[in-house]
Amino acid sequence: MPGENNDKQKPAGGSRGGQENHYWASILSEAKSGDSAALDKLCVFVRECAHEFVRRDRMPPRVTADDFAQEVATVFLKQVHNIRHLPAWLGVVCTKLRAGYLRKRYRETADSLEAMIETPGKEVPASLQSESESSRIEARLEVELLLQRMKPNQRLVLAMRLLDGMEYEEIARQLNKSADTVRLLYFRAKKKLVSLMNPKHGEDRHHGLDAHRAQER
Amino acid sequence: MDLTHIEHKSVRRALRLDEPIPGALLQKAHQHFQHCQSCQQLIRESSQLRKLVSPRLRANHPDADAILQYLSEKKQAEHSGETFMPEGTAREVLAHLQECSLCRKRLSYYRRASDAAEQVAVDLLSQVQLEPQPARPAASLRRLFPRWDGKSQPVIASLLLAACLSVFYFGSLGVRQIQQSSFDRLGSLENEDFASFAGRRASAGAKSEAARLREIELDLLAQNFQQAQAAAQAFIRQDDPNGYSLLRASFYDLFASLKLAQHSAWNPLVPRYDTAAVAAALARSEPVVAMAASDTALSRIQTYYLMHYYLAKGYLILHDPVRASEHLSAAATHDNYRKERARQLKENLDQVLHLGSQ
Repeated sequence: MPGENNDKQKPAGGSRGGQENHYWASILSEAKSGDSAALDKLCVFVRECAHEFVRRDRMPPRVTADDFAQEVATVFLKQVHNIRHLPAWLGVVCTKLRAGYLRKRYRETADSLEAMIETPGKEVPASLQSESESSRIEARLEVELLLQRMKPNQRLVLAMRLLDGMEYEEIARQLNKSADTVRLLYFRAKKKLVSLMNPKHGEDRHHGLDAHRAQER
Repeated sequence: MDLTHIEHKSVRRALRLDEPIPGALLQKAHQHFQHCQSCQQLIRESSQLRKLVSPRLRANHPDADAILQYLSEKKQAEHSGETFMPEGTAREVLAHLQECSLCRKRLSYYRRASDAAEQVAVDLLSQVQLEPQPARPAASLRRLFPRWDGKSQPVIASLLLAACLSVFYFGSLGVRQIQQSSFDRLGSLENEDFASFAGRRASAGAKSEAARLREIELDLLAQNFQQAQAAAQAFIRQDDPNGYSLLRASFYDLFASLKLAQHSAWNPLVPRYDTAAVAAALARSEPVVAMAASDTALSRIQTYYLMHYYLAKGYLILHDPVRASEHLSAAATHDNYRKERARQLKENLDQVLHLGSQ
């Protein structure tokens, strides 16, 4: 798979050897077989990990370590029978919950701004408000084409912001750029998309798609 | 008050970048948006982008949860040395990743983030070895106050210690204490004044039993409980009354005694009730009620059921919920002016007992 080599990294803590791994693996199997003492031990450990994760990592405001630890412990109890490698599972779950918090925060920010003005219904074009299946597919293609017309970094920043709700500082670390550069990339990408979505002089909403086709021709 | 030029710039920057508006400007910004067309336009553009583009992006690309689900399965398979055989969502994500460079980059980001989080677990695992750990107050304090060095702020440390000790002390009182305070509350007579029996009038003879009982009743109505209690007890001792008069005098005695046993509740260090006086009043009343219960005529009158009601109150004050419940059951079954209240108290008491048993 292209790009997969980038993802193949050494598993975290893989070099630490087998003793600890063997120890937690045996406790995990005891917990799976219904040993409540083992389950309690693992729960304590999972909560401790979540606390440590919050302490080391930057979590969105209003997320307390106790709330986060409670959520991780709840997911752990739900999924304990499907866990094969505890640290790997914990790593992914903590990342997942954190991503959820970030997305929620992004949504809340946008919602609170929208609530500050009276949003008229005409804001979303009527043609898009009741779409058929074919027009939905067409619109998806259109957005994809619009994205393809952007620079790769602009596209990535837009996706990380809109899809994943990430903060600029975090995207900047990922792209090895400054946060202000990332802000500029996002602003330009957004401006481009908005201008393509709002064609002037009576052109229809397929402006972006048509323009792309014309460019290809 | 509108935004200054610099504040306006700062708000517009936040709107352009879909960032939260600084808290200090929030209220002013809210007022400003009502008349500023350009700010409204920026908000609309962001809203449009979110409503039109985000759903399409989500339709074209897997969301973070799906990517992390795929990653979780992949990593677990890697660590356990199994062949990675994605199913369901993970299979779809894999198919998408083969075509989409954007999502491969997102995957690599999530991979790095989850590896860093995994490292936290690995580090901790090597420290704790999953053995039961002694409490680590210092670590907990560091988590609570990341900037606290534990030395420079002895006042905070003392306050924290005092708070911990208070929580421990009050926490150790436990459910029993909570139950007891509930009994006290249920047994309270603060809002219960004596109600005269309708239509009852003193008879003409001042020396008659009925007239003396009426005098006690008037004392109760005037809240002269000390006087009413003394008169009722004197009546019972001296006059050798008949069953009906004895029941009424006992009822007045009980009511006055309970009222007198109740202290002001403002100081939590002073007991709310004189329990010895309550116990003595109950001891005086119980034989009379037992006598009335065996009398077919007396066991039908309102005074008898009111006696049950106030006996229940007394037992609540003495924290004897079982006896209180029995008397409340009796008081709630027949017609008397506390019947409805008795039913409510019984329900509340049952709830307290149920909570305590959980």
